[in-house]
Amino acid sequence: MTAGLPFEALNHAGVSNSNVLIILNDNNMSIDPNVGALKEYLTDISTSQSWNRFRDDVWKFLGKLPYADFQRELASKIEASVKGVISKSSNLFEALGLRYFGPIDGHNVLKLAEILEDLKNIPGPKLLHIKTVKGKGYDLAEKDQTLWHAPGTFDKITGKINKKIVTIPEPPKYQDVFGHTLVELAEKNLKIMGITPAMPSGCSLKYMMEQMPDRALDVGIAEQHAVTLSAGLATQGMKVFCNIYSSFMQRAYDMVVHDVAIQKLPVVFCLDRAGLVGDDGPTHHGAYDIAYMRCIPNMVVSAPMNEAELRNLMYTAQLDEMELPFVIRYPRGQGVMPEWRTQMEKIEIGKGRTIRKGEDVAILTFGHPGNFAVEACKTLVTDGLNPAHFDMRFAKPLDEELLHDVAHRFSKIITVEDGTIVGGFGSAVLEFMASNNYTPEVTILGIPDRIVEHGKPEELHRECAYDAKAIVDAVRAMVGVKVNEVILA
Amino acid sequence: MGEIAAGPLLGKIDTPDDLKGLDKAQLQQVCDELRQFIIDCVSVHGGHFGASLGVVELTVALHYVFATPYDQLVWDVGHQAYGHKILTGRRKVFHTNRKYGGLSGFPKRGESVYDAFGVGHSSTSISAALGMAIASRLKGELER
Repeated sequence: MTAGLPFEALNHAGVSNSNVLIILNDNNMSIDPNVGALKEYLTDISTSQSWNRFRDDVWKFLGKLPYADFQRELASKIEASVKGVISKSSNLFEALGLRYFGPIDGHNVLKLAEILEDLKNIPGPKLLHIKTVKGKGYDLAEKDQTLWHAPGTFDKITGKINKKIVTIPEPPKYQDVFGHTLVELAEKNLKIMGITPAMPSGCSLKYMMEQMPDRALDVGIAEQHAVTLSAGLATQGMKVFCNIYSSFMQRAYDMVVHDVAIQKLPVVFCLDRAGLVGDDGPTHHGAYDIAYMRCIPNMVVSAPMNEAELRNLMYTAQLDEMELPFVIRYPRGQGVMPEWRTQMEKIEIGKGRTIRKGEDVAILTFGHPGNFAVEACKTLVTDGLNPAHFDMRFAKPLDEELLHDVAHRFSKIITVEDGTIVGGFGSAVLEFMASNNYTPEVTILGIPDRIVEHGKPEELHRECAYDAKAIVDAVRAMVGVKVNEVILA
Repeated sequence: MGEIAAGPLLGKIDTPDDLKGLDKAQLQQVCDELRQFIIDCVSVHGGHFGASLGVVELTVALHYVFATPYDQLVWDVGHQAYGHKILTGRRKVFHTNRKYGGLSGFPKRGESVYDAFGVGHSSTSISAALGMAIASRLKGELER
């Protein structure tokens, strides 16, 4: 109940005269603790028990008499008149035209069954407020609700959460690189602020929230608000890092266009969970953002191939000279650099970099899948091939100088991205080639035009054919494998 | 890594109709068994945890009282719906939850008639349920 949509729906429900029962499961939590005034309000009405008990008694008594409709109408009138007397503040939900019931203990199954039986027979829109405890019945989960939102596997007796046993230094999560780097930058640049819609743990803005509570804000599950709030802050010269999961940013698209891009405000959008996210599946895959961001004028759309690149892009985005909205997209999970605290440097906007020089085929990658291409190149070399690999860094603006050069030197191009093939980075390369009358053979690897279900990211990358093996296969298919030719001859 | 054993009452509930056949006095035991089943399953296979434990009693009461799937039950952000999935015919395959080719971690229309609406992102439930309710009224299904 921190988002706007439920209120839009409640506002309509109250006048709709439809049989809808809304159950407000009040546990004071999203993944992290809820924020905002409504939380206080819910506590408030929960404690005005005497009014609620009295009102329910009146309702039940009158509702059970014959001539139910007439009686209920009468009951409503009585209720409305006593409400002002007994309750000091009128009930928000009643004001919206819903009949409000509760709050009741959401862990008493008999009481719940009883009240649901009653409510089943009451027509019209109504709301039942129940109080529950997230993690109920598992002591540790009740006590640390954020940790136990989705703990992974654990020993159910001792409550010990199973951690991967690490023997060599592992690369950090991109999320932690974002979180710590933002603190580092914010210590030097006092204009930096951080915004998250209810994902302080997930995106690691929590580090800045702990150290600079005035400058890093959790606004609740409210993506639209997060974006427009960032725009407002930017009008006053603040450098806002607005961190929103790619799939959640879909909810705030008009704010990106209307409030940020049209007004050319230099908000930095860090799109976390970009690409196929894994277990959460199609509702959470960050599949579309390259396509939906690069079609907006004024946008810079970037993706780091590794931790150092993420730091450099963040550093670049916060510089005073950056006057455009700036998207930095990166995936969920680990990068590739155990030693990730690199010196930060400015990156020129719209400039890619050469990872490997070659001549048989040009592999153009955008973001983290560049690492798949690095793996693929190792295999291809053993085939006797000599592929070139470019980390493009930007889907917008494209590195046109690099692309002209590629078009002149290569007749075969493969693009790789962790986003939709339709309208994505590969599309941008094709547009460039077509509008410059180049006619190379181009293979686009990325998320196909269908809904991709859940699974481990590696499983999904394989299924969607843009992992290292798929890149190898694509190159072999385009240029032929010299080893095989020798054998055939 | 496979199927999780269920308690004696839960083990006999393959659809909400089986639940409705129980005496009200047995509901608390069903809740206890359902809660244990979720703990057993998530501890071994991972997944969302706290939210589903919080709504065990609500889940049991809703399926006991209402005529699902005729009555449309919409969850808001579906990771609290593990109990719902377990009571609606998916107990024996619940260990595949969130695994490649297995059950989805969220309610999903294509997966079960009991999943009235796909809910991965939060805050959508009232709008969706209101749409269903208005359609029911237009179709004359006044008790739905």
